[in-house]
Amino acid sequence: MTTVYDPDVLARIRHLYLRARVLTDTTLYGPHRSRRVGQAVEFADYQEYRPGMSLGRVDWRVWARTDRYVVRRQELETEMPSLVVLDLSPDASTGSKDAAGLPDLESTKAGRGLVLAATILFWLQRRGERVGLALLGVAGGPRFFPPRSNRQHLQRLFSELAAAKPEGHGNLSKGLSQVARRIRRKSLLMCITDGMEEPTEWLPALVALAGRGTDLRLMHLFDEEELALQESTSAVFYSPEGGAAHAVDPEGVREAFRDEVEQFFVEVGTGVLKAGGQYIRCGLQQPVELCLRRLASGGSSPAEAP
Amino acid sequence: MRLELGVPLAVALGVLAALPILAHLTLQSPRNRRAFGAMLLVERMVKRLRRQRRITDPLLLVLRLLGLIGLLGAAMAPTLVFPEAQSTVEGTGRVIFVLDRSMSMGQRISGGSLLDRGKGSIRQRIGEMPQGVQMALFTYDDQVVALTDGFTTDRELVLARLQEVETSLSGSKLAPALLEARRLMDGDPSDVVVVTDEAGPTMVPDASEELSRLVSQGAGVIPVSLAPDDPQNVTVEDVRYAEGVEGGILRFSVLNFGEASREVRCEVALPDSDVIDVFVDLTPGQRAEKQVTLPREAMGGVGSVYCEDEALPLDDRFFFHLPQTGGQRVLVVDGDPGDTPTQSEVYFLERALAPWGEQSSGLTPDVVGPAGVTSLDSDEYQVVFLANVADPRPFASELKTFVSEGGAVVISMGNNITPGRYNEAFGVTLPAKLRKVRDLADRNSEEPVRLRIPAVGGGLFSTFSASGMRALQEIGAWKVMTTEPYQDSEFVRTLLTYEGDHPALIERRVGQGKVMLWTSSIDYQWSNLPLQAMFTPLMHRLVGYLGASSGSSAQRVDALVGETVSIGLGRDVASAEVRGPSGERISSFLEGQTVRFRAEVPGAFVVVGPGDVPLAYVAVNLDHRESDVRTGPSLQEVGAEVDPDKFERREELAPPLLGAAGIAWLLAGLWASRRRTT
Repeated sequence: MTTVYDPDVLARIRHLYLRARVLTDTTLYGPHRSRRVGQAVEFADYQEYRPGMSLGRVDWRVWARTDRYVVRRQELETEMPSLVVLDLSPDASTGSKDAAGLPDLESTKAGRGLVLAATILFWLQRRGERVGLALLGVAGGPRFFPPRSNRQHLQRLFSELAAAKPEGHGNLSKGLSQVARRIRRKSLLMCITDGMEEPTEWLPALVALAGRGTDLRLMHLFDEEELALQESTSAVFYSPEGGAAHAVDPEGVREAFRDEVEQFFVEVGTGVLKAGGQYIRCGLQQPVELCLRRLASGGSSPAEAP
Repeated sequence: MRLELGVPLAVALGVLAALPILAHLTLQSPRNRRAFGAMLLVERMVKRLRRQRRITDPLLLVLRLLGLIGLLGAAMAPTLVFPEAQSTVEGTGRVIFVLDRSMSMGQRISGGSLLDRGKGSIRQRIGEMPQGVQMALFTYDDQVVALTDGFTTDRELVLARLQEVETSLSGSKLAPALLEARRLMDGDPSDVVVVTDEAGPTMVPDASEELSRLVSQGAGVIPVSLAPDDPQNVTVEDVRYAEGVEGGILRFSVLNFGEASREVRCEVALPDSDVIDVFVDLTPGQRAEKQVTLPREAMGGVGSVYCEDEALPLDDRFFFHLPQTGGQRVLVVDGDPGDTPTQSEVYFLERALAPWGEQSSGLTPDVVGPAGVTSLDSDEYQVVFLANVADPRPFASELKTFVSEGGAVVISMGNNITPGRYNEAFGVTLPAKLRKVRDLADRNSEEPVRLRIPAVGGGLFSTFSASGMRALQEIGAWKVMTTEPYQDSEFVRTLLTYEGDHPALIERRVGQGKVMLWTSSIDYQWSNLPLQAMFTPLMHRLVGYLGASSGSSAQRVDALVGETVSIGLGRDVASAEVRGPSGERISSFLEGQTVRFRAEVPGAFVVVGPGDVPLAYVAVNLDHRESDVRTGPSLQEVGAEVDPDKFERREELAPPLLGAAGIAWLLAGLWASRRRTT
């Protein structure tokens, strides 16, 4: 078991903390309202008064200023725990370059996933939300940390993130099913994954999660250069998870592979949108801030080219 | 042109050497390994990966393969062989021209025939030869004719003899012509110019041995092939007559030796000058069958089938024998004029033979009493019915002569018949000697004994369908005339029997004619024959059968052009004359009972005796094998087998292949080093 005294882990914790704080301050903090626990009623908009409405809901101040009878409309806001699901299957250990990654994971999708997870956890915790974490695909099987709001809990989550490595065996479908059994019905669920398993196997689990009333956000990690097959020399391609290897001539299959990639993205994106979630693409060659802004602004289109 | 390999084993060795190299170059696996995070997508297109191009440098592969192929090719020592026979005379000072004049040389081409073209070719060569060259000229079909008396330097004489050459109607045999040329050479070198269309599958191959001897004696053989690019010919192969409804059916087959489908107009000319036009569709190289229905009445003799063909008109007509169909004259001798119709054989016979009158039935029955039979001529009557005649002895000798010359007699029984008189009158001419009258069943209380379905097919029963044959069973008899025991043989046949094996209809062949015995009556006294549906068809068929095969004592003979025809007349004649298709007299020999003559042209020949009595008709045709104008193995090809040095040119391919291989390897090396540099 990894200890918190591991120098690499300590270095990662510091790095994660700094990256999360900087990104939160520069990207997420300004444009969004803070949510406070216990604030149950929040103003939404005004509506013209119509006969039959309760006079108690008339905003007399507006009447005094404008001589118009309007009724305040309010939205009910309840406490909503948040859970970040990070898929660290071995396939995520590949990638070409990522300036935002961790020192020893700077060129992998896993590094980008860790930074994103840390930033989101930090941001939500700073807003006073209860945050939890699920690590899938790590050595020893999925790890689950239920949502809590205290600072020690965040430190523990950071420690877990810093110690996590993509060395297990990916099974996204099974991991999502386990998460579904352990969360409450009304939750904010942020899933960070490269999705490199058959979508027909894991998308149903995701749909089931969304069906429980969760507010689903899926951040799809990918490496543009990797998927573009930029190399010209032939090589034997293999998956870090094992399985069959194939001799590939990138020049020969580039066109066909691009078609497969486009079809894959459309398949995943459409599946998430059908489940009622938000779909956010996070390419390694793009700044991590762009990915976070997309998260804040409501996602991207499934048909958008990687 | 063809390719020969000096070391064929090198092919197998080369393939064995090349396969692993090729496999290595095309199936080599990359050395680099790369962890890839999207193997899911790679797996999805694994089928495409299997088809993907793994050859890293196609140009290098091609260059190396070319080098390898060049090397292997050189190792196989290939030789390119071109057909190249001697084409000009080579100064031997002696030239023998051998000209094919067989029937196929009569093929029409633009500007004349193949023979004209061959003669033009010889004329041109003679014109190009220097003065003083000795020449000889042979023509051949199935026989060789020397047109010059050995060698001559007289060009005018050779050209004049050449001008007289005409196409024959015979096939071609090249070997005897080459033999004559070799004899004329007498061991001294000469040039032999062979002008032929090379038609037929065997003409040139059959001459290969003689060609070999000719070449071995120093002859320079110069083949001049006149074979047209698209040889065409249509010929009538065969004509067959078959009895049937109306006057019967004439079937003929037409052969198309060309390479194109055609529709040709054919006309069937009958002996009585009637002509029936038909069109025949022909496929390339195939035989087409066609049939025409003959009129109810047609004169017997020799007819012809002609199919239009401009390519080779000589073989367009085929001659065939046609028996007389319909129109037979029948003499009915009424031996028992009855008081009522049902008691009169003649009453029933007349209505059966000419139910609608003479014009419609095609038969002409004359009825006379026994006293009316004074003289019988087989050219006037074909069939005589003796219907219940009590005593035939007064005219028996005339009847026997009538039969021996080709006539036919049908004898039917009745209450007037006395067996002894008939046996005495006809003797062995009767199909079987008569014995006595026998009751088969009670006329008043029992059904008659029925006929059996005849076991013998063809002949008399050839025109009856299966249902017609079954209908014969309805015919029955209550009373029959029994016969002395007899055996079926070459001359005697039992055609019909009643149940219980009683003979009903017996046939005997006598000379050129036939005698038939109906053992019951033709009227209603002894049998129910005249009341049955089969009565009229059976009587018509009986007369048609007897009339077609008789009616004339003249023989019918088939022969081919060029054959010596021998005809045994079967009797002594004082003189015999052969007349050709146009009526001209043909030279012939009469030796005892045999007349012989040579058929030089196709057509209808007739052998006549004293008084212009026809003794034999002869249909002479061309051998249709000679009509096959399709080009067989050429003289050059056969010569190449006999003496390749004189009929072929050879080019060794190993040096240029080695050079090409060296260049390919050099380029491959340069390209590979350039790739390593970059």
